[in-house]
Parts: sequence; structure tokens; C-alpha cells
Amino acid sequence: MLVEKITTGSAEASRVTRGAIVRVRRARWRVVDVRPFDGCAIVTLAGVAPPHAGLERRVLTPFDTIEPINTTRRPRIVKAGAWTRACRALVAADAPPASLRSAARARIDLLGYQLEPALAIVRGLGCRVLLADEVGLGKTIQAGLIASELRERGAIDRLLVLAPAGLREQWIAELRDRFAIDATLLDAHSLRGIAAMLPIDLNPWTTMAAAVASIDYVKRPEVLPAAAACLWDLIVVDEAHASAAESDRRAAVHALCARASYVLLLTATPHNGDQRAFESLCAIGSVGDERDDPLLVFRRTRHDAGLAARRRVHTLRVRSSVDERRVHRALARYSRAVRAERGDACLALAVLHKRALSSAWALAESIDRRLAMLAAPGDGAAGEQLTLPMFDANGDFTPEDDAPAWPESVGLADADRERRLLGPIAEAARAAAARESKVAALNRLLRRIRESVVVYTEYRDTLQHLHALLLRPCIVLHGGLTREERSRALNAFVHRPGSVLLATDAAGEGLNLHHSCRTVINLELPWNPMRLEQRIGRVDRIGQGRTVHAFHLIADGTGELRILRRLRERIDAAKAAIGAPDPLAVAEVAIDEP
Amino acid sequence: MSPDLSAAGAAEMQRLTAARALMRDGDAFALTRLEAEGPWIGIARPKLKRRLGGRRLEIWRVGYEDASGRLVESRLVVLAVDVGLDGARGFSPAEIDSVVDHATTEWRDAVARAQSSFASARLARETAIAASAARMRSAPVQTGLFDRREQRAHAAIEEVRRRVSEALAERRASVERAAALVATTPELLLVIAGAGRS
Repeated sequence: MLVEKITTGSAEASRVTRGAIVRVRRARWRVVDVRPFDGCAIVTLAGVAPPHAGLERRVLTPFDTIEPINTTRRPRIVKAGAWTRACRALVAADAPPASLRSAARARIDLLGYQLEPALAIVRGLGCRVLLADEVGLGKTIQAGLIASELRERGAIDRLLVLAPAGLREQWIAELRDRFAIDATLLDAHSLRGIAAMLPIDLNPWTTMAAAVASIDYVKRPEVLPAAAACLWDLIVVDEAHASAAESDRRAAVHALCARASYVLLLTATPHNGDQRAFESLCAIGSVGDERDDPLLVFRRTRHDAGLAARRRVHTLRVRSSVDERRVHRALARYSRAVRAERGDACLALAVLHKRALSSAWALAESIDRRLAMLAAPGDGAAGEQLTLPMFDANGDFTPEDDAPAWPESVGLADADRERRLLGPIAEAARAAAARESKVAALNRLLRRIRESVVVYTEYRDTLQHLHALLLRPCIVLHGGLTREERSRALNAFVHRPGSVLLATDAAGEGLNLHHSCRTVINLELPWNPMRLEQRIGRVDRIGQGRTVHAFHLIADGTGELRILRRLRERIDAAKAAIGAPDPLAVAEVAIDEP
Repeated sequence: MSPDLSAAGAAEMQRLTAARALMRDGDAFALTRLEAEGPWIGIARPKLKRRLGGRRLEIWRVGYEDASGRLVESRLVVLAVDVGLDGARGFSPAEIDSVVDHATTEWRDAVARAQSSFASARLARETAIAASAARMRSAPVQTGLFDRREQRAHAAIEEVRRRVSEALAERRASVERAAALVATTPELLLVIAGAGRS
């Protein structure tokens, strides 16, 4: 049995052994383990008397005084009830080597496939895991199982969860309620509070045993050095596909993960049809070759998990109005002119077409901004400067649903000619925005669906326009909401049956809405198949007891049918590479009739 | 690498389901008390006493602790001990060790294999992290004639790097320490005996 001397050289040096009964903070505890460091030790205690009975706590000596209580271990006769209780607990805890010790206590429904990643870790198959199960198969639970198992084994002390800003509370609640892990939300506000209580040279990140932070907050140049100066034992990267492409986000996540003992990458959509992005995702946190530092990949479908597929996908073709067709024709004229002058602008022009397919209103907003720039060319330089996060110190906002900046490579040398071409687009777009055919189709659809619905769109301005035009009252969820506003919106949606949630991809990612809703409507098709799967996955998850319905609204007579074909190709590529799910499968096509 | 652990996952689920079905509120606390107080003796009711037939039932626990004294693996060994007419007969510590050792040979081998695999994966990763950190070179700094800000920033970065290297070395050492498990001496936890015969 281990005997560790816990002392700072004072006369009150005491010897604490595993199993010893001690008094700490006026309560009785049993010592579970003692982890010595220079001049101090972390002692894990289990409560042996109310009100701490059954609780586990960690204290740091000599800052907490530990007084051994002289109890002699001797046989004693006990009542049959106590004997039976202890016997039951002993038998229940008796497990073969490399079994999971914490899973029995976790507040989860036990599912075999969810235990596999944790088993792989405790069997020493690797230290980096890519959990790429289909949406809704419980990746958070699997990550929690790994975290609690490694904590139980004393293999990790510090846990960091990197998640999109909107999912931080969800992570904290899941870790607390299911695995009894108390994680702290770290943002500018909380770090300021923590730093105020610490000596000036102490990094507040190092004082947290379990923390949840937003990826976009951590990647900030003023934040990353402090976060990276702390050695994390386990880092969980939620929605890891967002950190796959070369970017500041990916660099920050890799910098942190490359020093972590264990790395968990969580994503339901690891492959968007781009092999390079997938390889970049797999390399996050990698520090050696595949032999020394293998990546364990878990990719299970509903079928693998023994869950029946109960999803019906409906493609609703919407007839475009005369004004809308005019918008697309005018935009095509402008695109031809730009391509004729600058052959390399095809990709950049796609941004404008995307805006047009989202809503005429969104396109009108973009065109108006461009016309304003052309009218006052000197102000253009101001738009190129990156904005400081002055109004978002905590990293609450998600800017991905903001209207994109006008692409640099899109424009004509002759400003007057460009104005002449853009003017009719803006005019037609404003006229079309007053009576958008997709909005009318959506109103008709919502009249028929009497239950809760999530309507997705890509851009915040489209969402706000939609909010103004829809006949049914709606709750909005977009990247410009604060933590509190977001929380209020979600609460309202969950607690009001029959409500409509208008959400952008950026704000809706990772949410669990399956208990209150089963229908998703996509106002426009996202160009990335992963987004499509992410959207439907909010309601198509374990625990969803009803058939899920997904509606795709496709504008006839526009380029959206081409997007549908392109999406199909990308989905097929991802399917061939990693068996990705098909969010367009079993589509039922219907024509929307006014 | 995509490991196929579906059979292991299903078996583990069955074991955990059985464990959950067995447990009641207060059981875990009873075990904490038992571990703190010492062996508990239950008095067998007449029916059980007859079935024991002059023996007493002892439940021993053998285990392995890591360097911090945490019990990482354990196994129960149940012994039926013949009790003489005077009730004083039992095993000597050496006999207990021998019997328990014999009963847990396979389990000990399995623990050694599992621990070796778990520890070597951790150590391989820690070694790779240390090697990767050692390969990182700091950018050269141009000493300013009057302005020392660049040098101070460089010194601060170097200080952080030094601290991180120390922390990495400490973590690696703790992983190495944790890799060595120590077998605990068998611990008697529960006894069930007829009245007056313990």
C-alpha cells in the first residue's frame, strides 16, 4: 500500500494512506488516492458520512488540512441489510481487466456501440479518436464516457472541451448531469473574474480541472497563448469538421491538441467530398507517425447501431415568380460581363448566386452595398479592415451567418457600366422580395404542419426577412444573439409545442431538438452536404420516437436544380470515401401549387 | 485505424446492465463504509447456516494500485472456510495468499496485459509530444539598438516554452510512474458465519 508523506517541511507532516479515514473541512472522508507533486499533493477523498456520503472530492494539501482519524480496522458484526448492500456493491464492481468502471454510474441508457470508443482507449489502442458517427447517435455521451473513465483511472486531470459558442451550455449540462463532471465555461467575462482572484503571474486557464470554451474565442491571438500554456490532458473538439480546413481555427485547435495526452475529435460530417480537408481533420493533434500515434476512427450508421431509419425526405419544387426569374436573368447578365472581363471570377461569382438563391432580399442587400461602394469608392478601404471583437468580448456571437463581403475579384473596371448592370438586379430583387415564392410556399407548408418545425436558412438577413413575412409567429435563432437571448429562444421553442424556429446553420449546429420537434424545412439547399446532414440531425437523433420529415424547397427555373445535382455528386464522393449518410436519399418530389 | 470492438461493446453493455440491475440506493455508500471500517461479519440465518454446513464464507479482495495508491483493478475471491467445533479454525495468512494467488493467476496475467497496453499507448504519445516540442525552434530575434520590446517578447515566449517543457517532462514521468502497478495484499471484506462461530 502506498504511503506518501505530504509535507511542506512543517512539523505537522502527516502520513496519509489509501483507505485511511481522515477529517477534512469538518467532515469524515476516506482517502481514495494521493498524488504527490513538489511541495504539495492532490488527495482524492470519498465521503463516508452525511452530507458528503458517496461524494468524491479532491483537495490540495498542505493548503487543506488533512487530519487522520485513528480508526482501527477490525472485524465487526453488522446487520444483514448493511452486509447485503456492501456485498451487492462489491459484486457489481467486480469486473474483468480493462472494463469500464465509471459507466455504470453514468446517467445514460447503455448502448453497446457507445461503449466502444472508451473501451478502445482503456485497452490502449490509441490516444486520438475521431468519433464520426452519424448525427444523433450520441457522440457527446461517448466523449463523456471517455472523460469520466480516464478521470476514474487517474489518467487525466485537465479536460478542455472546445465547442461552438452556442453549444457551451449544452456541454456543461451534459457533463454535469450525466457524468458528474463539473466543467466551467471559460470566456472573457469568467476569465476576468478568475484572474481577479489569482496572483498576477498565475494563468487562469491552469486553475480549471474541466473547462468548456468556444473555439472562436480560444483562437483569438490575445487568448490562445494563455490557453496553450496550460497542458491539457484531454481535449474534446466538438463539430471538428469546422476546424478541418486550413485556417486560424484549425491552427489554434491543432496547437492545443498537439500537446494533449488524449484528443477526441467529434463530428457527424467528417467528409464534405474534399479529401484534403478530411486528411487535415485527421491530422489534428497528430504528433507522430501512424504507428506511434494512431487515429482511432469510429464511424457508425443508424443501421450499425441497430436503429431503424425513419426519415422521409421531401423535395418541394417551388415555381419562381416573374420578378424572381427577372432577378436571375439580370444576375446572369452581370456574371457574363464579369467573366468576360476577369476570367478568374467564377468562384467569387458563386457567392452572389448563393445569395440570390437564399432570398431576393439577401441579394438586394448585397447589391445595395456594392452600389454604395461604387458611389463612394474611397470608403471601400474601410471595409477591408478586420473588425476588432469589441462588441463580443465573450465570443458569444457566430459571424458565419453574416452577409458575406462583396468578393474582391467581382467587379468591372468601368464603374458606370457596373452600376448600369447592377441597378436592374437591385430593382428586380426588391420587387421580388415583396412576394417571394419560397416564402409563400413556406407559409402554405406551415399551415399544413400543425406541430413544431425548424426552418433553416444560411444567412441572417434572409432569416430576418423571413421572420417579417411569415404568417405564423416564429422564434429566431441566429449568430447575432447573446448567450442569454439564445437560451431564451431555445427555451421558448422547447416549451411551446407547435412553434416555428427560424435558425441559421451557424446558430443551429449541434442542438438537441428531437424531444420537441421532428420536422426540418430547408429554405435553400446548402452547397455543402455536411450542412444538410447537420440540419436534419438536430431532430433525427436517438430518442426521436417519431418519423422525421425533411423538406427541401427548390426554386424552379433557377440554378438550384444544378446545386441539387452537384450536392448529389459530393454526397456520392463522401459516401464512397467514408460511407457518409445521404441526406437526399429517398426523396419524394412534389410540386408546390399556390 | 477503425477497431472493431462491437463484440466487446455488447459484452460490456451486458455486464454493466447486470451491475446496474444489482445495485440499489445506498449500496455504494455501504461499500465506502465497509472499506473504511474493516471486515463486516454477517450472521447467517438458520437456513443459510444449514447450507453452509459448518463452514464460513469469506469474501476477499485482491487488487492492484497505481503509484498514487488508487485501486485500479480488483477481483473478488470467495472462500468457504471449514470451522472446527470450537469455531477457531481458519487459514493462516500464508495459506490465504497461496489460495488467492492460485485463484487469480489468469486474472493477474490479464491485468498485466491490459495495463501494459494502456500504459504503452500513453507513453508512446507522451514521447511523441516531447519529441515534437523539442523539434520546435524559436524564431531568431533581431536585437534592437534602442527598443527592447522584441527581446522582451522573445524572452517571454522562451519562458513559456521552458515551463511547458518542464510540465511535459513531469507529465511523462507521472505516466511512467502510473504504468507500474503494485499488487495489494488480499483484503478480507465480508464474512458470513453462523452465530458464535466466527
